[in-house]
Amino acid sequence: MNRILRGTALNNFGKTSQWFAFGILKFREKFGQILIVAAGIVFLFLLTLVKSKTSPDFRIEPTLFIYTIFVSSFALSRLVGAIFYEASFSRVASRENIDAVLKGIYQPFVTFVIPCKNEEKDIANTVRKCFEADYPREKTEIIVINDGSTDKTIDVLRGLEASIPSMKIIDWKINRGKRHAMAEGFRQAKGEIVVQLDSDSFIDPGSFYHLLVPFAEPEIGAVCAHADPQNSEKNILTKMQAAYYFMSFRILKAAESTFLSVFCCSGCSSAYRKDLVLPILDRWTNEKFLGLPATWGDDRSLTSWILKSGSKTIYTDEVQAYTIVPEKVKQLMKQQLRWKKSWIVNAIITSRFIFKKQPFVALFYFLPLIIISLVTPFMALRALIYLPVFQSEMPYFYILGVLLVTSLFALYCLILEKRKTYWPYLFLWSLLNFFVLAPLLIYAAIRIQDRGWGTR
Amino acid sequence: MLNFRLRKIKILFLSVVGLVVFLMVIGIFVLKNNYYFRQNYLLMQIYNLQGNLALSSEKISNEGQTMTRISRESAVSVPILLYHGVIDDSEWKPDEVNVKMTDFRDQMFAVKKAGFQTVTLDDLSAFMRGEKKLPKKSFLLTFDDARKDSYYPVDPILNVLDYNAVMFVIAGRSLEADEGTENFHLTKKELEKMMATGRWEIGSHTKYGHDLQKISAEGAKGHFLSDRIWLDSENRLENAEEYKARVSKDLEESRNDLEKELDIEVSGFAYPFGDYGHNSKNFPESRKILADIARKNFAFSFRQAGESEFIGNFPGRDFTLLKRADINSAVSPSQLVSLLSGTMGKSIPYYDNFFKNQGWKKAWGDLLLKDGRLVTLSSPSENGSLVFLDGTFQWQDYEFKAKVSVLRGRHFAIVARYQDGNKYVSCDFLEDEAILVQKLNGQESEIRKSDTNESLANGREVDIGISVSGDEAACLIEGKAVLTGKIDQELNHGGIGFKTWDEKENNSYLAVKDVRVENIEK
Repeated sequence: MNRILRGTALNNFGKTSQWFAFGILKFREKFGQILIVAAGIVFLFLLTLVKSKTSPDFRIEPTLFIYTIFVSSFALSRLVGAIFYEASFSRVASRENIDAVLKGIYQPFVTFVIPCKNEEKDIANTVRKCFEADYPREKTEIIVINDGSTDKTIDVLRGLEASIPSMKIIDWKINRGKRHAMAEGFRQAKGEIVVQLDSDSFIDPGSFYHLLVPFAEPEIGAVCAHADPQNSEKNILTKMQAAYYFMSFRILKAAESTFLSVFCCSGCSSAYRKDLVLPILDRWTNEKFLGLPATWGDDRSLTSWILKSGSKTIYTDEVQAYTIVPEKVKQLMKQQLRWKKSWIVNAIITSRFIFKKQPFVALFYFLPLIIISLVTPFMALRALIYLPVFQSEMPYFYILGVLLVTSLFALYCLILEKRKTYWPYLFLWSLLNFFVLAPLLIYAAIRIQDRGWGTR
Repeated sequence: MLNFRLRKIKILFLSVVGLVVFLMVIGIFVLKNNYYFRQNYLLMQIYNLQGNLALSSEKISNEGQTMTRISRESAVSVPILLYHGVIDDSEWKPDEVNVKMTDFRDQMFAVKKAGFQTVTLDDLSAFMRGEKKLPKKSFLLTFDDARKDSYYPVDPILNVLDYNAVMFVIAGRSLEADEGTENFHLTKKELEKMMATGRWEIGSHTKYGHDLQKISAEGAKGHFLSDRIWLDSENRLENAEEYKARVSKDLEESRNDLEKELDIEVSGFAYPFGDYGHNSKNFPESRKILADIARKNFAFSFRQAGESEFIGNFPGRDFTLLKRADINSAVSPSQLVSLLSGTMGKSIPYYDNFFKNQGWKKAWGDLLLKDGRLVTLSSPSENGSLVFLDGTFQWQDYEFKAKVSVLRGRHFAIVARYQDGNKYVSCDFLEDEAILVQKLNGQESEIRKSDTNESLANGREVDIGISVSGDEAACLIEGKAVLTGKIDQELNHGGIGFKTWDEKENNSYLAVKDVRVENIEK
C-alpha cells in the first residue's frame, strides 16, 4: 500500500509542478503549439497541392481519383481518431476509477503470466520488474512457464524463487508452443486479471496500476499498455523501430482505442479479464486457419476473441512497457512477415463478427483498412515499377505524398513524445514501409501456409 | 452504457474527418486549375532566378542595346529565328525539332552579347513595307505550336535579356484544351498570362491544320493544308473547291478564334511543318491557292528557309511570305551569332581572305575554312557543292574575282547574282570550255559558250571572275573577259558563290582564296 501511496504523491506532484511551470513555460509551450499547428496546416496544404497535381482527373478516371482521396483521408482519419483518444480514454479511466484503484475500492487480484523459452539473459529482469510493480503485493502472483528451454533459463528461475515468493514456475521439458504456455498460465491463474508479458519485456513498476484502472468498467475486456523498445539506442534500425512503435501505439492504437476497440492488444504487455478468456481458451489454443494450426498472432487472435465476446478493448498511454526489438534486418523481416501473416489471418476471422458487434468501427475503420491494405501494395507497384518502366513517369510525387503524410504523423509524435528523440526516424521507417514492408503483404499472403515461427 | 457516452466523440470524429476530406477535395479542384500552383509556373520562378544569376555572371547589361542605338546603321534585312520546344531535362537527347534549355539560354545570351535585339511583328511589318528603319542588329524570335515548354523556360530568359517573341498558336488545340488536364499545349488562361507579360505576340498556326490527314484510299497521310484529303464517306478525294473551302475555313477560324478569345489582333501565320504547298503530295496547285488564302487572312505568313536561301528578309520583295531559320541544339551559340551577323548587308568593295567566316553558307555539299582558303567540296553522296555568301542578296553591279585551284573533280563555276539555289548566274568551267549559264526557277540555260584551249581543272591556281552589270554578264580568266552575254531581268540583283560538279560522287574539291568584289562604274 505504501508504494501505491507514494505513486499517488508522485502523481500529484506531477500535476502541481505543471502549475508551477505554467507561468514560465506557458508562452514557450503555446508558441510551440501554434508553430506545430501551423506546420500541420502547411503540410495539409502541401499534401492537397501534391494530390491536385498527381491525382487523375475526376471526370476521366473517377475510381483512381476516389482511391487517392480515400487513402489520404484514411491516414488523416487515424490522426483525427488519435486526437480524440484522450477524450474517450478519460471516460473509461475516470477520476473515480483511478481513485478506486488507488484507494483499494477496486483492487483485483493480478496474475502475471510469462511464457519463456531460452531467455536466460532477460527473464530475471522481467520477473523482478513484475515483482516490483506498484501494487499491493498480496494481490499479485507471477506464473512463469518454461516452455522447454534448452539453456539455463530454469536455473535462473530457481535462483529467483527465494527472493520472489509469489512466483510459480511451470517447467515443461518439451516445447509446446507459446499459445499453449499462455493458456496454461490462464488456467492456473488465481487472479481476476491476467497480465500477459513476453519474456523479454517488462512493465514500468511505477505506472503499473494504471493498467488496472480501465477494468473498473465491467465492459472492458482487455487493456494494452504503451510499449517502447528498450534497445532503441542500439542502431539506426532500432531507432526507426522506436519511432514506429511510438507512432503505432500512440497514433494507430490510440485511434482504435478512441472507439474502445483495439484490434491487437500486443503480446508484449497486455492485461485480460480472465472470465472472458477461460471459456474460449480451448478454441483459441487449437485455432486453425486453412486446416493448419495458427502458430503466430496469438495476441491479435486473443484480442479478437475478446471483441467477439462483445467486450471492449482499450489502450492506455499511462502504462509504460518496454520490449526488445530486432536489431538486424533479417530478424526484423521475419518478424514483419509473421505479423503480416497474422494480420491476414485475423482480418478474415475478425470480418466474420465485427460488423455485428461494432458496426461503427467496422464501417469507418475496419472496412477501409482492409480495402486499402489490399489495394495499396498494387498501387505502390504501379507507381514504383509500372509507371517508371512503361510510361517513364518517375514516382517523385508519389513518394512526396507519402512523406507529407508522414510529416503530419511525425509532427503529432513530436508533440507527444516526451524525449523528442526518435520522431525524425519515422521518415526512414515510412520509406522502408513503403518500399519493402507494404509489398511484403503480398509475399505474406503467398506464404500464408508456411506456419513456421521463423526464429527471432 | 459506454457506447452511449461515445456517441458525441463519434459524431465529432466523423465531422472532423468529413471536413478534412471536403477541404481536400475542394482544394484539389481549386489548386488543379490554379495558375500560380502549376508546376510550370513554379518552375518558371526557378528559371527566372537561374536566368538572373547567369546574367550577372555573364556581365551582360543592356549595353548591347545602347550600342545598337548608337550605331546609326540600319538593317538591310531582318532574320527570323524559329524554335519549338525548349527542353529542361538533362537526360534528353537533342533532336532536330527542339532545343535544350541550357543551349537555348547560351544561344540567346551570345546573341545578346553580340548586340542583337529582337523586334516586334509590328516593327517588322513596317520594315517590310519600307515604312520604318530598324537597327542593324535586329531579329525576330518565333516559336511554333504554343507548347508549354516554349513558354515557361523561355519567358524568364526573354525577361532578363529584354527580348520579346512571337508564339504561333494552334488555335484548336490551345483554346479548346482543358485547363486542368492539358499538359502539352498552352491553354487559354496561360496564353492570357503570357500576353500580360508584354513580351509576347500571338500568331496563328492554324486551327486544326497541324494534323496529318488521310489523302488516299490506301490510307497514305498528307498535310492538312497542302493536300486534298480523302473523303471516306464518298470514297473519293475532295475537289479543289472543297479543298479551298476547308482550308479557308480553318485559317479564318483560327484567326477569328484567337482574336475573339484573347482580345488581340492576329497578323501573322506560320505554315505547319513549314509546308506552304511546296511539299504537297497530291495537289501542287495548293501552293498558289494557299498563298492567296493566307494573304487574305494575314498580313504575313512564315515558312522555314531552305538551305540554299538567304536567311534575311528583305523589304519590298514579296514581303507577305517570310523566311525563318530553324534553330535547334546542333547550332552552337557562336554559329548562331555568325548566322545572324552574316545576314547583315555587306557592301562593295568586298574582300575576303577567309580568316574567319563572314557569312559563307552551303546550299549543298560541304564547306570549310582552311589556311586562309575557302574549300568547297562534295559530301559523300553528292556529285557537287554550292556555296554562297550571306548578306549579298542586294548586290547589283559588280565584278567578282577569286583565285581558285581545283584539287579534285573537273567542273567548277563562279556564281553571281545569287538569289537562291534556283536563281543565279554562273560561269561554268569544264574540260576546255567556259559557259555562261543562267538558272531561273530551277531551269539552267546556256547563254554563251567559249573554248579555253585547256582545262582549268588541273590543280594549279587560276584567277577567274564574273562580272555583272545591268543585264550584261561576262566570264573572266586572268582578268580578261572570255565571253559575255545577256541575262534575264529577274536576275537583276543577287550575291556571290561557287559551285562544283563531277560525274562521280564525292569527287570534287575546290580551294578558293583572295576573293575580291569591286563596283563597276556604269
